Amino acid sequence: MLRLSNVSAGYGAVTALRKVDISLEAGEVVALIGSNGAGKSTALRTISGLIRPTAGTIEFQGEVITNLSPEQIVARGIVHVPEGRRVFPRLSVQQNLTVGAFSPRAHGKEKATRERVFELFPRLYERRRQLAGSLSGGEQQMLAFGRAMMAQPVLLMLDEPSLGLAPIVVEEIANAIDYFRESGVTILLVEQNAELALSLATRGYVIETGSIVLSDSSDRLLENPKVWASYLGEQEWEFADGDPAQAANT
Amino acid sequence: MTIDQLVQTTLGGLAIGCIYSLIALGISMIIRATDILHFAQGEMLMIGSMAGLSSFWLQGMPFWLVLLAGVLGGGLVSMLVEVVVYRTLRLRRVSAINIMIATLGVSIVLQNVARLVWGSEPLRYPTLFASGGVKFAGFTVSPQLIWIVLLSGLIMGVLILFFRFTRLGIAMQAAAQDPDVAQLMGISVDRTTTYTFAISGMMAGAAGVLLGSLFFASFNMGFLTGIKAFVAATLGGLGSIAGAMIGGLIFGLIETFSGTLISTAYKDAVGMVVLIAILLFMPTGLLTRGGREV
Ligand SMILES: Nc1ncnc2c1ncn2[C@@H]1O[C@H](COP(=O)(O)OP(=O)(O)O)[C@@H](O)[C@H]1O
Ligand SMILES: [Mg+2]
Repeated sequence: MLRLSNVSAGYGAVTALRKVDISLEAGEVVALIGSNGAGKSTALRTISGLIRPTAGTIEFQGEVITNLSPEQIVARGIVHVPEGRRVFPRLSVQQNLTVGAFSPRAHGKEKATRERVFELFPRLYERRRQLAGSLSGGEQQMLAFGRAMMAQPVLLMLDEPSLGLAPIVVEEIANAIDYFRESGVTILLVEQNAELALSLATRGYVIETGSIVLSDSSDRLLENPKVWASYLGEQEWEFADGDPAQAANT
Repeated sequence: MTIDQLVQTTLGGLAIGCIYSLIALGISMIIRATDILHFAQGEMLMIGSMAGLSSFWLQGMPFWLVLLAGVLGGGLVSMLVEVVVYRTLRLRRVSAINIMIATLGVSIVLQNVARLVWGSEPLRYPTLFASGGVKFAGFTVSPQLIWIVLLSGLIMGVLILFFRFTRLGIAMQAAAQDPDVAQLMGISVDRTTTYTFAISGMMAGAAGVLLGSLFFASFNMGFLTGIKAFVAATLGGLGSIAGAMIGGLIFGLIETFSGTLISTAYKDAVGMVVLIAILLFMPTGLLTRGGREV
């Protein structure tokens, strides 16, 4: 349903994506992992139209969307939850949800979806009149999810949803991602936390300095020594001198 | 100062303060949305004033239509400069400082165009309000001042409701707070910026008709008024909507009282002293805003 072919993109003279090929089938959950600065966020920004690719094509549901504006891309159901949550701090929780439903495709279902968001995240209902900037990090992430739900996504792109959050909140994020999956939304999940991403996704891509270097099923990526060395390895110190494979089981 | 003088001066100060508030609001909205200090905001007031006056000359329109003409005139010209000049500069990645200099240029061009069209003499505004005094709590007050306060209050009230409750108003705030993410929600930031200029121009246009009805209309009436509104916006905390309203009222009162107590000859200077004092002692104004926010 989404296919990037040979996509390159960057910022002025800096090239941040080099000839990237990524494809997703409808209903899949796919992870994109890589270390800081590898180009993960750039990939999502290119898909959602915030930056124009310098080469290659992006197709969504059989239509070329390479040069559409972000507005037109949202209107097709591609919803991007940016890194760092980025809720609108001086709008109330409720107003943030209203902004989520700004695209005309979401207007009709606005009320029903808002109720569903509040069912799923009762904390947001309690705080619906509070300014989003006054919420905790975890609550802001819930709001970012809720705002994305309001947009009626067909393809949901999540940029490091677990970043800087407590483990207990990370669990709630996993639940929210499950919720989207069960309602048939295709998900592209970007994470530095490779273990979390691969436990949620069925497949994954590994990106390094702007290029896709590996693509495989989650199980095989989790066992791949190279992936261990680069992306799961940084957690090794937490397990002292433990065997990486053993650490994966804990 | 007698009690009667006190009441009259307060009412006069509030009326002129409301006019400053209307312009200061536009300045604050624009700075929130674009980080640009719009020096041509006073000219939108002048255009509104002239548009209202012209509609009166043409058709002898009733007051509310004159006001509507002023609102449309100010709104249209403001929107036009944004689309033709400022947006083009933004697309070319011209720095905010240089765009601000361009807004000064727009201010001068508009003054000269107005001088060509409406001449350089101050133009008498028709009496738009019943001129006899009305009794209010035992004082005889000018209905004109009362009308100005009520109408300005109404306009600002509608603006607050628009920002708080309508989909577009909320989206405009979102675009001002985080333009990139607003785009991800399907908001066209170019479009919300244009609406911001349109609404700011409409409010300045309304202020122009109200100010004209107090004094007169002239091609350069917007210049000093615009600067005073900028002082009002700074007083309230640049970029804060509530601050612009309060700043306008306080500045109107300070100016009017200093005119009565000291001398009208120095009332403009008093305003500038206020500006320098704020910048020295209260650089963030009464109400502050954090970054590109409400
Ligand atoms: N706004 C920007 N301007 C210039 N370079 C940028 C910008 N954003 C990111 N980059 C560069 O692009 C590369 C990829 O960044 P990014 O996509 O944010 O990585 P990731 O999300 O994987 O951490 C990095 O080298 C980064 O320095
Ligand atoms: Mg990133």
